[in-house]
Amino acid sequence: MLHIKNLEVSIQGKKILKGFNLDIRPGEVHAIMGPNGTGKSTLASTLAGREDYEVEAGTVEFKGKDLLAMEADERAREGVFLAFQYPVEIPGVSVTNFMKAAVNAKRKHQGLEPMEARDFLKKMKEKMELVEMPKEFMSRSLNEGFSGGEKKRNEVFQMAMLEPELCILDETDSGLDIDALRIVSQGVNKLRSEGRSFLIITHYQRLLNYITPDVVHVMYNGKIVKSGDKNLALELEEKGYDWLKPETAEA
Amino acid sequence: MINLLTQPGMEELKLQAKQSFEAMGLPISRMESWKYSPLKTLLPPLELFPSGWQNSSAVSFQSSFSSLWIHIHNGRLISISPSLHHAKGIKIRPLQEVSEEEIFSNFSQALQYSKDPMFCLAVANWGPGFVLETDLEFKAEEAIHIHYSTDAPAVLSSGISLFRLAKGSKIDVLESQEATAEGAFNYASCMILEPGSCMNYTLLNNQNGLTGIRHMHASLLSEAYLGMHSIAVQAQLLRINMKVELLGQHARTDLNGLYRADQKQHIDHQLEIRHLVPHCPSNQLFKGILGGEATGVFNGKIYVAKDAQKTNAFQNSKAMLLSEEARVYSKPELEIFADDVKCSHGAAIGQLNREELFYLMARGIPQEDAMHLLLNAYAAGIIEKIAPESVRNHVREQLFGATAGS
Repeated sequence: MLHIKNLEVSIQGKKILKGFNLDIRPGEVHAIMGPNGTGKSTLASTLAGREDYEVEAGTVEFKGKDLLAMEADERAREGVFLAFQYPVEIPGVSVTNFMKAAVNAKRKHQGLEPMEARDFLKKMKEKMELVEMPKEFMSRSLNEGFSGGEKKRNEVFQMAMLEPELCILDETDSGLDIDALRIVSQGVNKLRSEGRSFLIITHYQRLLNYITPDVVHVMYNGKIVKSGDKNLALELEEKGYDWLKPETAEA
Repeated sequence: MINLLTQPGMEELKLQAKQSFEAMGLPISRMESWKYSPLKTLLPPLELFPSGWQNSSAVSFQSSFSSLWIHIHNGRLISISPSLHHAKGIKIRPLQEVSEEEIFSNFSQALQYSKDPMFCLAVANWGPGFVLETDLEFKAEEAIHIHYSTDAPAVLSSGISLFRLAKGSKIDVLESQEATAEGAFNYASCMILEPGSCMNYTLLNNQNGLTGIRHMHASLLSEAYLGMHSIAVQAQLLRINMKVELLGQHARTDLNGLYRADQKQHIDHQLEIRHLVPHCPSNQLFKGILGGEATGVFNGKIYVAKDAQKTNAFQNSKAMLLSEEARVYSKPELEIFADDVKCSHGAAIGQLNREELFYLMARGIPQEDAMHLLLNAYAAGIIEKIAPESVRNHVREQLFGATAGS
């Protein structure tokens, strides 16, 4: 589904990703862990198509297509979803209007008619229940005045609405209390399916107690330095990241 | 100067206004309040003192918004809807049927506006406009739609309308403008709001390519309320003067505006609120969206007289520039002579927030649609302030189409 080869990315002249490689097959859940400043969020932003991130080398293939050639909106319509680390507050744009525009943009891309109002509202209601969002959120301005936990739940809600094939969670667990973490994780777990892959970027192992990954990668200094199964995350929790650093220094 | 103390006759007043205009001439950029809208260079050549009333062969109008409507064509009252004609509590008369004494005793205050050349020009061309009056305590249930159409080629059509709201009465007005490419207008409205009366007046200028000047001049007595909302979209050249005098304690006014211009369009709002007595609140909130090589001007003046203690006057002007070549000139002017007042002003000029745009696009919304969503959200802050609801919904529909939801 996703093939990243030798990706090199810089921001304002500073190289952050330095030959990053990753392959994700349909249905797999990959976790990327690593210390701060190692390029995890740069990876997420590059995949989602944020401006200011300059790809200097490498390729990213998504469902056989050149992802890097697409604008951010096109990537999303193709099935890439980034759950933001810091969801943006947009006063005056209601959750409902925003979702209507997003869902129908995707449907148009797929050659489908806009969704009937009744079906749309039914779907909204259903997906809001998934992350235990109260109904009144539908008419509220997007993320405006939402608590940290509500914002992250709103991200997972949008994910459920848009039914993407590749879900990238950028430190979705940061700033969440235990209850919010449980709700968000449950939402994600319910969305796991054969055709849907996840790339979970996290600083802590905590989230992986709730969402069990198929593969865990450790990222350091712009590339993956170690991969393993879910036990690698536990090992990191125990030993920290320091024991991995000399390995890269030597390499 | 128009000297009202001597109570000249109508012809004399018009003559004096004409002389005042001729002394000043068409506005040039050296005139402070016309600095960014020098009509002398911006207006095409126009006949400023047309002889006789410009009529055209076939003009008709019927409001789809309200059963109560008035149609003004080239400055002349040409029709009133039957429902409005027969409405109890509202009286509308052609200006020429109203005696000079009556006009002077009622409107001398409102007509005292001698420093603006274009207002003088409107008075000099005083013609068959209308006077609208309400009965004591009358409350209109439906908003009145006043439609102006202008089609006299190469002429600056002028006109005056007068409003007098009796004590405790309340009306809402929606005004719309329609003009042909060659038609330009210079229309003035003067209004007296007697104690406890209330008016919401919305100016909707949403026809592409309008050229004109609109003067709104209101005097508010104690506990009167005026909400004035200017929605100006895609006008070629539009200047709106709003002047509100707070003459009675606890009179209140809200002036709001939304303007949107592209290409080489030019939209200018000049506001003046005069706090002359204590205990009056006033608010101004204006937002502009400018693309292409468009120009927006906002000049908001707040005057607080020495005796106008406990005044609360707030002003906020925002503008969003969508292109490198778009311009906005935003200037607050506060003249405060009282010492126990709360006044504030703010001006912010910015661009579309790129983080917001990226967030919407990251959900698959195409850039153009994402920009629309953000601009509509920006505009919504003004639209929401329009009262009553029927006018607000009409404006929303006109701007965003019938499908616009909440």
